[in-house]
Amino acid sequence: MRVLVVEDESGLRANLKQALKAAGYVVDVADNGVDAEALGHVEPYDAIVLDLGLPRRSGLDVLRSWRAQGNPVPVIILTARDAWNEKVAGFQAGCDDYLAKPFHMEELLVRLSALLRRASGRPGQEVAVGDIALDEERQTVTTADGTTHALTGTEFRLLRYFMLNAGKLLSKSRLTDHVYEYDDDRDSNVIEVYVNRLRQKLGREWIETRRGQGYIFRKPGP
Amino acid sequence: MISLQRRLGLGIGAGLALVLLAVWVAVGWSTLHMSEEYVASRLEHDAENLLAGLRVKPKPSINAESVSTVYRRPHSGHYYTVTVGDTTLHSRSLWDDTLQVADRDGSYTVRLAGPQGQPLLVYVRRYERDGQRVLIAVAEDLGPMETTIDEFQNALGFIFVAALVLVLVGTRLGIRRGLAPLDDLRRDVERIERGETTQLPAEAPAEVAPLVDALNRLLRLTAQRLARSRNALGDLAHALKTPLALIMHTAEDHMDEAARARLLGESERIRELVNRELARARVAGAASPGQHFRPDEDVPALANVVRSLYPERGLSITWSVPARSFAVDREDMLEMLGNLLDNAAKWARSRVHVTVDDDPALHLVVEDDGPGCPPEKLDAITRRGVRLDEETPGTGLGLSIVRTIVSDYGGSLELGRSDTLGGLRVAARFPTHA
Repeated sequence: MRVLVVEDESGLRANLKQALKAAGYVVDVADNGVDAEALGHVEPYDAIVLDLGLPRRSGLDVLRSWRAQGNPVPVIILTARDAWNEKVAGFQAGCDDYLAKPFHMEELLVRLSALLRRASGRPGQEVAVGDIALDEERQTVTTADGTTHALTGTEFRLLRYFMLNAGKLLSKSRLTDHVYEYDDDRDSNVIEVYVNRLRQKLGREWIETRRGQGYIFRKPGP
Repeated sequence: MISLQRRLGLGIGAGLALVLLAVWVAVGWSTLHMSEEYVASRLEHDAENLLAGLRVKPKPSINAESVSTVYRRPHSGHYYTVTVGDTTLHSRSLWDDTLQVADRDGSYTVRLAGPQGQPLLVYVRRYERDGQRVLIAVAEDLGPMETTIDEFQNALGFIFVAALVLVLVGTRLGIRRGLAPLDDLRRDVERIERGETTQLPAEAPAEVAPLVDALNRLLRLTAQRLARSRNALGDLAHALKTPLALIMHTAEDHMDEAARARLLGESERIRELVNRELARARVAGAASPGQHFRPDEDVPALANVVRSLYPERGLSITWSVPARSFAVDREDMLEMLGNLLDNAAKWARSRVHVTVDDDPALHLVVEDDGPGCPPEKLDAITRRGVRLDEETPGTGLGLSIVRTIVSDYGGSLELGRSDTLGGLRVAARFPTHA
């Protein structure tokens, strides 16, 4: 899951990046409205955490510009401006959630994960497909027989992306985009390695390979 | 209260009445005077005729041909007496009356009461004829002439009074018309009060335009000041909250359990205080010229926000609101309704209903189907004037802002049980002018 954090205060930006990384997200950051707007238009983010009081271009303008371009990326506004008329303006500009500063990092993580589940069409308290359930806090997966497998950071990021996009054909490059940082070494062959590791833990039938196209994660048919 | 209309009307009316009265008196007096002069000159002429027809010797007598016949008809209003020595000749018209006049040198005119009380003008003159002193007095009844003059005088008075009334009515209409722009201005100011507009229309008569300009400047200044202070508060909020978030996150990550709990507890408290004071300071209050509140647009928008903030609750938020605007600050109403809805969303099982009423004044009700509030606690929630450090953080911040807003508008807040939904019912009633 790839997330853009837009925050102009460097300390908070670093904190957010660290916490989101620890929670298994791939994190890009922007510290002003203009960069944020461009990144949002170009990069395929799964969610964006957006401050409103930004240098160069206000957060609301940036959000409106994304929506005007038909970009449906889920956006959480994270702002000190918490008057109700500002919340109304935020939602009218097209945000999906609104969190007032100061906030607890845990609450942001809970809301972000809920937002991603909703965006994937799987509302509920946890990420689950069929009888596989992902524990986002511990970064483990529980399979049908009740065994819990620990996941490495990359495995967790890959599996979460698969589960939140279950049933969709996902290309290797798309998986790379959402599992690796912008500036990481992006060798798409590594994806194969991680897919195989997930198959070992879940069972081969969960991840189907489409040669030359990519992978589909879905509940195995009877 | 002084009335410009009455003052101007009185001034013009009294002045004009004085002038007309003076004209009326002068015209009456000069008409009478001129008529008397005219009569006197005719009498003088008759006196000369009499003198011409007078024979002194042997016995004083007057040649009848030199005398007009009116002097022979009894009480005709034309009379004479001619005194020669001891003999006095009377006109027949005098019948058995006499004209009692003083014998003086030269000539003079005098007014006397004649036969049957006729007001007579008498011309008296002394002549010398054949060594004899002759005193001739000729009189004419002024009655008919005075009657004519009185009639003329009455007609003139009537015309003057009519003219005065016309002028007064005209002035009144003129003043009313002249003051009409002020009436328009008052209606425009009322529209601003109702929040239908923020500035007065620029076109106004030259006399009123400076007032309109001054009012517009004042409105702009007030709006700017409000916006500035709100912005300044927003900036302060931003400046305080981001470092506070950092403190909280640092504590969460880097401290031992006890220190973390303490620091987080205190941070939470600062957060509550900052939020409460900023929210309170943001309240514009009844006299603000801000954007008006449109329940039919703003309530659905708020419901959407609350639903989005609590997506997992699956709340059904419904409303019945009138399609009109209210002259109350939109931000204040959003803040109040937002807090009430947020509270309702936290406690409701599944339903929240918002009612906005305008009969006769703005009336807002938020109800939910949650557990409600036991009556003994309602008092504690609604009590007023609780000091900042006495209120428990995290319990009633929303309601305390609601209370601040309602009391700023001079309204009242009422908590109870919802009849229809069974949970808490909060009603805010605003005074009629809002």
